[in-house]
Amino acid sequence: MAAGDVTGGARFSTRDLVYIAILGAAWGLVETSLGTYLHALRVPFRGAILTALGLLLALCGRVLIPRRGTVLMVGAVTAALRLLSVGAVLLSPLLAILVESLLAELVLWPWTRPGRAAFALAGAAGTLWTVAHPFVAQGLVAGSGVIAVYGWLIESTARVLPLLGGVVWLLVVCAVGIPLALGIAAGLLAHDLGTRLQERLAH
Amino acid sequence: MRAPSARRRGGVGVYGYACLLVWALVAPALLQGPRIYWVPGTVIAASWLAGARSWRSLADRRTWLLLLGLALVGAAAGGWGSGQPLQSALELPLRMVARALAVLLAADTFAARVSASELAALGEGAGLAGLGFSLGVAINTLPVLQRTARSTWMALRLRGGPGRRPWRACSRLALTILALSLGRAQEIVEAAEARAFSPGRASLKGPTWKSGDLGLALGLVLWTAALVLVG
Repeated sequence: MAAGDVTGGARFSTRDLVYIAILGAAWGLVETSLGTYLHALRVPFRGAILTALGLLLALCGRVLIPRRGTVLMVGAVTAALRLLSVGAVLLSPLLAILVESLLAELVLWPWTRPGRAAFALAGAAGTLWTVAHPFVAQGLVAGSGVIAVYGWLIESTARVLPLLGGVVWLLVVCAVGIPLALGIAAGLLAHDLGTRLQERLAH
Repeated sequence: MRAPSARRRGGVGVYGYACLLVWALVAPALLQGPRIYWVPGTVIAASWLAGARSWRSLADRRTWLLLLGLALVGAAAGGWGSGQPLQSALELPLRMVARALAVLLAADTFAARVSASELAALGEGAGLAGLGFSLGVAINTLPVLQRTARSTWMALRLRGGPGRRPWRACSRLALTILALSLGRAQEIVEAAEARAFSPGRASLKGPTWKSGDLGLALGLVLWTAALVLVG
């Protein structure tokens, strides 16, 4: 076993690595093609939608390759593809892909063959990162000055909207609830899609 | 895209560029007052000396919008226009812009100067065995995957589109695209094994620290100490 091997000693076969490559490429394709449309159209929760679709593919991989480290490997391939792609300001999506796949991997880590509930939990854990990610990414790029900016934004918005207290709770529930629902749906769909793919590929 | 000869001349490898990125993230927190403006300057100088001659972030409109947005919001948060002296009101936005510029340029340099194989070796060194092979296959699979997705979508449209059950149609579309793409896996496996590829034997050798990496890391540490102590 290689030192620090994330697969826990069980190396991937050539076929596993090819499956990981294809699923990583598919996640990369979703990020670059659908992501461009969603960003251009300013679709709300586009980050959560893209993450849910990406995790759907990565979690499908976990059904096809029942080994620890599969989801993280798919995420690493996607992140590397993003790093090598044309374009700029790549730090944020790169970090997001790696952390999301790592969170989903950590949830699935205890099981060799996780069930539907574990897949739903893994999807939810990955997509919930989209709630925290903008704050982490902005903090990394702009530093601690962002805290002063957030304070000013909250203060000035509260001054303009006296009823903010009630609205804030609604916004927080939506900001957490929608990615959570998307993640759970992605996890469940991944389990079903992966099982169907397994049957189809076996023929 | 990459200039291996320049990289060899500079002697800076993946660890050196990673050090520069980490330094761009950490140094602004250590430097008070106007000393922070040395950070983007140092990143530009170090990148230039290591062989980077262009930064794709600077050619991207979004970078300038981000910096402009940070400057405006930071100025408003710093109290510009509310009786604050101009110098103290502009301190916050200028610090944020300097840090953002340094981080973006260091990330650009890392992305531009580190090759796919070095990146894969770094991943394999971190425990992701087989990442190099997977990355290579993924790069070659992308156009095929794109073609498969387009032709499957066209076939669906020619048969009347998603119809009354769009979710079921989308699910079938995803299943077909993935099944067709994964079905080609056997060909790739056979091609790899015909070339004597074996995941157990073919792991990439992890990148080593070059003299340029050590020089850059040491230089950055000394430069930071000088900026902190002397100012």
